Amino acid sequence: MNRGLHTETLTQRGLKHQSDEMIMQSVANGNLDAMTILFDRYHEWIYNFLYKMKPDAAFCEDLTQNVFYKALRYRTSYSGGKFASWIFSIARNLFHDEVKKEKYRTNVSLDNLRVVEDKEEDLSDEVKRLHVVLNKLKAEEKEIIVMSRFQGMKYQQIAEVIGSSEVAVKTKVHRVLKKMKTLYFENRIV
Amino acid sequence: MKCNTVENKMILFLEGELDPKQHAEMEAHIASCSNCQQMLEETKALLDAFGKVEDEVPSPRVKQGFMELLEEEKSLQQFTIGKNNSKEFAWKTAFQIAASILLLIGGYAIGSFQKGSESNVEIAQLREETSQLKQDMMLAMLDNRSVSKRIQAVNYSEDIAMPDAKVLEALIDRLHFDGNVNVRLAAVEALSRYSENEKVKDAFIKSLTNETNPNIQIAVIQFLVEVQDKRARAPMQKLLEHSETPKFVKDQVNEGLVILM
Repeated sequence: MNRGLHTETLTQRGLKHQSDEMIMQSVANGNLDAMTILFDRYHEWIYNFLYKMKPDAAFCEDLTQNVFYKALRYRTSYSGGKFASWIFSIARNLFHDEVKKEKYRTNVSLDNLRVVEDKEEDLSDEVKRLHVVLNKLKAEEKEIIVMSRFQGMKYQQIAEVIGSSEVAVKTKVHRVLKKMKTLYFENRIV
Repeated sequence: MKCNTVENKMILFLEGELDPKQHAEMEAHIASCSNCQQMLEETKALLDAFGKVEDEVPSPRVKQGFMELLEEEKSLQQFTIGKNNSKEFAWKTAFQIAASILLLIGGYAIGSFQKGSESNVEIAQLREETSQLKQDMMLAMLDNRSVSKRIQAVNYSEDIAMPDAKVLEALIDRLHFDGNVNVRLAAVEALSRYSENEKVKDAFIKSLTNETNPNIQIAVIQFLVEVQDKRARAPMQKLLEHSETPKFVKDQVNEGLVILM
């Protein structure tokens, strides 16, 4: 019993230095505890994506938990691709499902969700203006900008996640940035 | 280079993605055009603003919740027997040999039966041996790697008129731990014939708590409602509360709960 526990911790420790993909493979093979490592590596990243899209801490915390639970639940469907893209897709799908449900209930669409309102006074002028601009974007425009500029995702990775091509994503990001630049300087006084 | 082109390439320029020749052309144009200079500054300012947004830190509640869900999932984790590497055994041949031995013994038995009345006892013995042999075969086959073999084995159990505890236990093991849905479903069907058996009922109650496949959930609920086992109410209530439970399963639960009241 004791020995088993010992080996378990050793494997866990060994995994700590492995790639995301190796660890997820281990989870898929039944080592569920290893998911904790991936949770520690990615939950803030996922949480921040959700929070940028919908700044509601309780909502995003629940959803972040749920993302990792889904990943655990459907571990066998992980097919060895880049883990970050896989977990991000789960988050994105869950998020859109939730928003759809909410829209159905409250009639508030994603386009009308505001970015960060509560802690507004602590923010610098630039950040406040950026939020105003982000709020003026369409949901899909905002999403692609969040992925590219806040999540640090490469165009290729975004393309994978949203099912598009690298060139198309790049063009779109640039187009939205141009639009944002115009809005950003149009609204100097807010 | 025209201002329009410069505008379109501004982000590529700032990201350093242009080839050296275009990059130089951009630099030259911007140096000589005040409009484009302003545009460059504005674009830079926007991109800088992104960097000033600070990351949010979720509360420790998220990790706690995740750890709870992890424990829940671990308790549901089922052992997949289908993965062990036992060597493939030639079942067909084994059955054929068994059948011919039985035939031989059978022939001998008939012969001796015709000889005298004591043979009745021998026949009875033989029958018992036959069913014992069948049962052993079935038990061995249940651990086979192939899904269809396991289903076949589960179905063989129907030929066994009075299965002993070993057979029931093996079937219950399939119901709980087999990695394949179809085998589990076959086990539900096979076990449903022993509705009087307390062990079987216990197994179904346990299965209702752990099973995640809707088809099996439905079969198990039907059985438990049929035998009027009121202990099923608690796990059925739980299914109703679980967000993963599909609607048609919930409908079945609701129907069942009315009957079990």
